[in-house]
Amino acid sequence: MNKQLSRRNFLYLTGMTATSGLLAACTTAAPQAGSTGGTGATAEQITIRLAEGSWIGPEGIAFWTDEIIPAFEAANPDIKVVYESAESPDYEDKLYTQAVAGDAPDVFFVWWSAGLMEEGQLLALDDYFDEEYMADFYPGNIVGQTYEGKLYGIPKYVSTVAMAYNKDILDAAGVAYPDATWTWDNYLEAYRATTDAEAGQWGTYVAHEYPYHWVWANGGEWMDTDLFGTKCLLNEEKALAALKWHHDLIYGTEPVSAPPGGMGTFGAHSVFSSGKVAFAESHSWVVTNYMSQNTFNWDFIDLPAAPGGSRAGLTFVNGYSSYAGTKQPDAAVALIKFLTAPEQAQTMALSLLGLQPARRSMDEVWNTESEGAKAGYDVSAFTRIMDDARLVPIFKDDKQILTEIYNPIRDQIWITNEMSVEEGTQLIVDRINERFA
Amino acid sequence: MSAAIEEMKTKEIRPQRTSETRDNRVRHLTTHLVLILGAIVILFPIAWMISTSLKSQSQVIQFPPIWIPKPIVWENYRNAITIFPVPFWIFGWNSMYLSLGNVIGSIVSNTIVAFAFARLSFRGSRVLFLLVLSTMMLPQQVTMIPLFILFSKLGWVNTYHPLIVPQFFANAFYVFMLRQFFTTIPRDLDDAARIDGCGVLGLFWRILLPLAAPAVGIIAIFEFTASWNWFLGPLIYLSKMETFPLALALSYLNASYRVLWSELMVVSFIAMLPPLILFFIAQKAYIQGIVVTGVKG
Amino acid sequence: MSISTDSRRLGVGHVPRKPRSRQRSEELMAYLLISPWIIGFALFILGPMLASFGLSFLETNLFSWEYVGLKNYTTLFSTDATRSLFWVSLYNTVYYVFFSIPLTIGAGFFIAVLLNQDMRGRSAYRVIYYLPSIIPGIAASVVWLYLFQPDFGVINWLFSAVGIEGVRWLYDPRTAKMAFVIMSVWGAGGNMLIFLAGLQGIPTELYEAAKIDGAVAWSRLRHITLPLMSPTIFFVVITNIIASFQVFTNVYVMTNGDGGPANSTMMYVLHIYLVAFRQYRLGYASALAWVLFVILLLFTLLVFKSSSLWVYYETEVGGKRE
Repeated sequence: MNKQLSRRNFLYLTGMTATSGLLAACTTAAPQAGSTGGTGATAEQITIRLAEGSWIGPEGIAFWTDEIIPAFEAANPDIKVVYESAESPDYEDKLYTQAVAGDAPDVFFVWWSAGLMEEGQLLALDDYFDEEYMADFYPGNIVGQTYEGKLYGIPKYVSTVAMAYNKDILDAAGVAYPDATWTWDNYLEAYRATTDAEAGQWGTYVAHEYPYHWVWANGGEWMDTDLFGTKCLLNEEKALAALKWHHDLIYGTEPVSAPPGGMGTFGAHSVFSSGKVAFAESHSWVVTNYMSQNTFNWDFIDLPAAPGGSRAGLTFVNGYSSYAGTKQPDAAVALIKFLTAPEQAQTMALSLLGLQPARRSMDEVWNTESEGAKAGYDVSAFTRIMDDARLVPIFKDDKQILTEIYNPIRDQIWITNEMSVEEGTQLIVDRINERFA
Repeated sequence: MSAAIEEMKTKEIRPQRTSETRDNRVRHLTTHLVLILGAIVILFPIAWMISTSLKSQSQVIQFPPIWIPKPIVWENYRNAITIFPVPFWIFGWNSMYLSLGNVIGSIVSNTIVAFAFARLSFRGSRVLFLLVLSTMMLPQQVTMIPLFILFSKLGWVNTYHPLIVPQFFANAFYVFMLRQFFTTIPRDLDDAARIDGCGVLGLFWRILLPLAAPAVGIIAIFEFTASWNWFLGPLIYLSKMETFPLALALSYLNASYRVLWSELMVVSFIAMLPPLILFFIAQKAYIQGIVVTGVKG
Repeated sequence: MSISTDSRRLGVGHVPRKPRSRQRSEELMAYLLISPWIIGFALFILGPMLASFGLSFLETNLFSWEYVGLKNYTTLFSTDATRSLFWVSLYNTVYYVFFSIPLTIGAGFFIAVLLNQDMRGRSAYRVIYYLPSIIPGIAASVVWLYLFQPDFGVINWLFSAVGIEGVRWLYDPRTAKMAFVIMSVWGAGGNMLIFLAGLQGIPTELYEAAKIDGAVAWSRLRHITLPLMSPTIFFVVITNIIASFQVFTNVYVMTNGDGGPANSTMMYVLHIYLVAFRQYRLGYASALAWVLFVILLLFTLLVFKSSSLWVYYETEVGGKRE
């Protein structure tokens, strides 16, 4: 009887297991089956994938699917573009994974793409874009897109820093509005006059994550070369003085800036919108944010000049690249050319995205026709600084250096004030030099 | 003999009744007090969530933080749903598909496997069980890429297969948990059932599974919740917005250059509702009340 | 009749001797039943695991690779904090686990015991206490960032009410980890559910009999609840240790992927993630992961060995003790 049972059960069991396996393998048609490659649908039509983010939230997606892509397809009837969502920074992981599996999109937007660039995962673009084409772009951005003499990306937009100021606070404190001639000393006076710690109001908010241009303005240097430098020069007198000056704003005898963490939790870029700071260094992409969030009167002005009189600005790498393994390089390049063309730069500048153009020739558009300009704000402060704007220093093995050396010490200097600027900076210099020795 | 079996199979799982002595009433009261305090602590962040969901963007950024928004922006609820280029309910549908698929897969596969470990003797069961456990010990961050390559070769990228199929092949956590539950069920029931002519499968289906119903209920709840809020898997495998589950749709509100705080809270709040409802249902079915097995001899 | 104590402890494979044919057919049955798991294990788990093990002997970003033998492992163990953050991240993680585990298990158990009684609003309480696990991670992180805000956050407001001032939580290396511990206790609802289910399995006759014998609540807890719950507690302890050692998402979101300030919240898995997906060093990341694997395996074996002292498997009605 046992044997009989077990045989019956055996069959029953096999059936169940098989069904279970079948269930798994045949999970009903997923909501969408997608194409994964860039191969063409018909002999004539080519399909390529574009990975871009929304930048400003779900409304930004329509910008790609309803404006840019249809415009491109109209101009290139034999190419079909499939839009893929790429919301950074998690998108970095995805792009890396896709590249490893050999399946990255044909065209994608990236910020710093070191790993991919150095490992030949990006398509070299020199043959497609000549010097004349590239001359219109601000050089700082391009420096970061070149590796061993080859070009791997075309800049999309520019992000740089200008000073924003809260008119209402200045009025109440009886401080004159700043102008382009102001130096650090002028600002210090203004900071002091507008700080009222008890009321929770501060003269400024020191964004210690972006200290690069302070050093340059004062005549100092970070590394011996901007890209992949090997010798750190931060402990030299001018560099150190610049850092110390800003450090004292927070921890000196007369603080005019809240310490990090003391101004809400929405990030350094939102601090100004709280209405509790008189001045704040702001990036060009926050213009539209400020316009929708600020409930007080405000405007932009140039960054201050250092005591010596010189200015320096900041710029970051970003742009469109193509996957080296793309099956449609010509189509991909055509798309990149389209996306970085003056017309599109203009569209991006004037739209909800409000991105400052990477092309010098488009500065006028930004200065006069962008949302911020039309509302009457002095957004040309962002373009005026561009000639003095340099690329953020990038180390070799950048992320590793940051995690292991730079960030911990930086936090101890600026967040907890455990180390003095001199001590911490010396430590950074020693360790970086040692690492690259 | 049958009567004894009947008695043994009937398990009264009834919560304790408190009697009405004064001592008990005091204890009753303190229990309630503790629970209420705890509930306040738990609900506090949720209250903040709801408060933020009704603010305008500029009010969100204010500090000191405002608790009661002035004005209350009810439109946030409508806006948060309509700003997506894809109808909002599609996200919910995708999430439901993902979560239910995973729940079914989990229950089907894990109950069988745990039963085998708990009730059947076979060579290598000890080693295999430790092997099962050890799969929980390697962080998924390093297996993510090899797994993606596997699924890519299978052509499953941009589908839900990589997200659901693995659940049909059992999962260490649930196997472990179910096995523990199975072992708390007395073997006398097994023997009695066998004597009554029940085969191995019958044992599983008619006796152990119903008695382990609370555990199965937990698997349903845990797996549903986990899949519902799962972000990384869908992110890696899906690229078209129409296929996104709610968790990915949420990420759009946390865009590179703007975070729509109020809308984020709105969508998070809405996203909480289906798991909550499921929890209520599962609770009533599995964790409360009397569980009786009605197996006849 | 020899029944190995090991099998007994695991509760696995412990059945009275049966006729050989039945034994064999049972074995067959068992193998068949666990076949889905074997297949899935081989495909989705073993394969990638072996792949990552192999990677740990390479220096690679997956586009190119170089065999380096044990170099990843020797770098890992270096105590120079500018070469390896292994010890830092391990310390941070152990710190977190050390505080979080007793608190979350204790809280879960405590609430479960309270909610196991017949009372009004029981289901409402259960929902409320499980709610934190349902909130989407990003919303929870943002909210808690707010609560931990040094100047206006509610936590500090409460603290100042009892006289404690100046805790800067996520902006102070000394308190940042504790912030995450507190957040983990808030999410103890999952444990509560598991304990509740386990408590359901304890026959009420036992409690009634004990009450008749005059046992007080504490004694009933000690002599009935705890022993009969020990398999469940065993499960919760092991799975919670394994899971909390791998804490990642909260920390990643709330410190901006930084592990700061000054790497004080650089948890082990966050470190692995940064090494793999920001530094593109998959070889080193795999080595880190496998060292974690060994650590967790040792921990688990330890708990298993100790379980003979405190875990009672009920193999017969009446619960014979070992």
